[in-house]
Amino acid sequence: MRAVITLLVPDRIGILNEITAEVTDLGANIESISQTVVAGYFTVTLVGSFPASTVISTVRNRMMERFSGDTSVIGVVPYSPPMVIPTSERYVITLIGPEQPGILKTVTSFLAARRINIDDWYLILSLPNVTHVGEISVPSSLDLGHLQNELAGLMHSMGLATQIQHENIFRVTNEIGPIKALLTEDRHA
Amino acid sequence: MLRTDDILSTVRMIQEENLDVRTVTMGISLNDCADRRVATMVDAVRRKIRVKAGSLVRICDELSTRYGIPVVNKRLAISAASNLLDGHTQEAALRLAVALDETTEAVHVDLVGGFSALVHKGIVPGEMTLINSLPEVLAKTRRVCSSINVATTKAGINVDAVKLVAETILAISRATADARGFGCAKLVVFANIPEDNPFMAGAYLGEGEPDCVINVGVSGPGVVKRAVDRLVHDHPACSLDDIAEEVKHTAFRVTRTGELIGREVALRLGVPFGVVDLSLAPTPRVGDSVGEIYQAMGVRSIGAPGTTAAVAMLNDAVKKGGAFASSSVGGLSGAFIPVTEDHALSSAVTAGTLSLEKLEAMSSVCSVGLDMIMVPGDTSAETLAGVILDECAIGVFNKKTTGVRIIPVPGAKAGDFIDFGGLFGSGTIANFVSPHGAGEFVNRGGHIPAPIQSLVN
Repeated sequence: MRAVITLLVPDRIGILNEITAEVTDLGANIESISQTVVAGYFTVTLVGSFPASTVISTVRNRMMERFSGDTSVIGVVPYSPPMVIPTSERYVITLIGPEQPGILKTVTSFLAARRINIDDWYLILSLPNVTHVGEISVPSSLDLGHLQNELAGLMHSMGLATQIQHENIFRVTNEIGPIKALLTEDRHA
Repeated sequence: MLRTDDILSTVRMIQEENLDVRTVTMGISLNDCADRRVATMVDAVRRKIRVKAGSLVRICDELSTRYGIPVVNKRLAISAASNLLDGHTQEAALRLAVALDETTEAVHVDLVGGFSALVHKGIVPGEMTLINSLPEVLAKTRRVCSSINVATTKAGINVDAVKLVAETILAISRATADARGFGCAKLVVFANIPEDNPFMAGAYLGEGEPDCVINVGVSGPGVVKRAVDRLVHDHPACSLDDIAEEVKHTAFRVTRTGELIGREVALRLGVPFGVVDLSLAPTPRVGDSVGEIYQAMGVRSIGAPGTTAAVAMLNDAVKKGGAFASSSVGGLSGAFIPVTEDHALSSAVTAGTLSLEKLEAMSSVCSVGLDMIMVPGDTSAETLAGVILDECAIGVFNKKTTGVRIIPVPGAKAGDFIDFGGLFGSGTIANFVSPHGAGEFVNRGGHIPAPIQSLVN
């Protein structure tokens, strides 16, 4: 039985140790995990592979019991295979400009309407400005130049400068692996 | 996994610090186009360029969009055109040059280099034809660039060729007098010419190169300058070691950007990738200057004692960063000091702090030499030959490339201000402290023997 567990809790030392100990004690193997701290809140999502006899409610109860002393939000759900997304490539989108309400709503509407999946999103606030950085999967069928122009026009009205750039430009400028291998990897993807 | 601050630093390099790919240059061998019949030779040249380079600009533009990084110039570098001119007349040389000019325009490429001859040991008829045709060729074409190699460390310096080229430079200046002698900006005189240099005006495809190849020239003086600025701002007491380290790291990132674009262009065109030339190539724009880097390092008055050391340190740090970044580094790969194309250097010449003699000293520790220097129109052939000989000596005896791109401006005298416009920039006519007095030495002609390769101290 595979389950997805999420936890949101005010950050303190030892949280990840506690949650992984609980899962391990239930006989599970952790297959995937992502953890970060946002504005002082610890957040984690993990996928565990449990013994077939384990039921979701058992996992949920153990987690609620463990974090009963914290103000927390806990979710435990059965694992569902990810949606099938069209053939796509990874790009990085950046938006830089004055902070204001509605930026995320505008840009995510734009992306969703074009079947562009958001894989990661970060926001860095440095008032009066804000920087958004997103990692997105752009369907190969889209005309990139047209997409960039449309987005630039849309966000320009909010005073934001935008860029959509293939992730490889960031990988080559920040990693040391051979570029030839990176391009071969792309062709085999 | 990409980190947000890494992403943003790359974005900043491109958007605020003028990081670009200065040139994607396709090398094409035209040797198989040789024919005794001029029309047949010229037709073959046109056909081969169209076949090989027809998609170059489109692909560069697509990749520029994909990666969000400008590819400023798309250029061609052909095998030495003199190879096609044996047994031909100057008229044939002009027809070849016009064909190159027109075909380059047809495939939307900026410039074509390689109207070149290698005469460091002797001159064959085709090379003589090419050199003699240069005044007319450079006056009547827009995109054709030329280079003449007159010296190598293995062969020494062909002084007779140097004299011939000096006289040719004056003839080109006269032939393009209505453009202030601008034709001379399209000719580089080399010692130890690189076979894979993607930058103009000296690009050509060497004899040991493939039939078709993609070489890339990166830029990035603005990026390096801003990196040094940030370091000095955050650590005002930083040492020169710290600055060298910062430049090295920055050069790594700049070089990798160039290799990515170059490799993908080559992949899409189905031709081999050659090299990244990691030269710091300035433009007249403020914030895109090599001279500004020296100022950021602490040489406030360019030309002051210490400038040569700053040039050497910068050049070395760039090479170290680039060499780690890529195993395909070639071309010139150093810091350029083209005076009119770099506003800080040009201003220093105008202010009188940077002399031509100091520039010559700087060229001993960087690439490429006395570059985009404007001198009075009445400068003698002996003086020009002496300048070329001095630069050749620096290159030949230090086992490096050096070059001279010098523009005698017709009717102009020292102190006059000339503006060529665009990327070629502007500047003040300078003169040598002692322009005369070496005529007897130069006019002896002959050959300066190759230097001894041992007893090197």
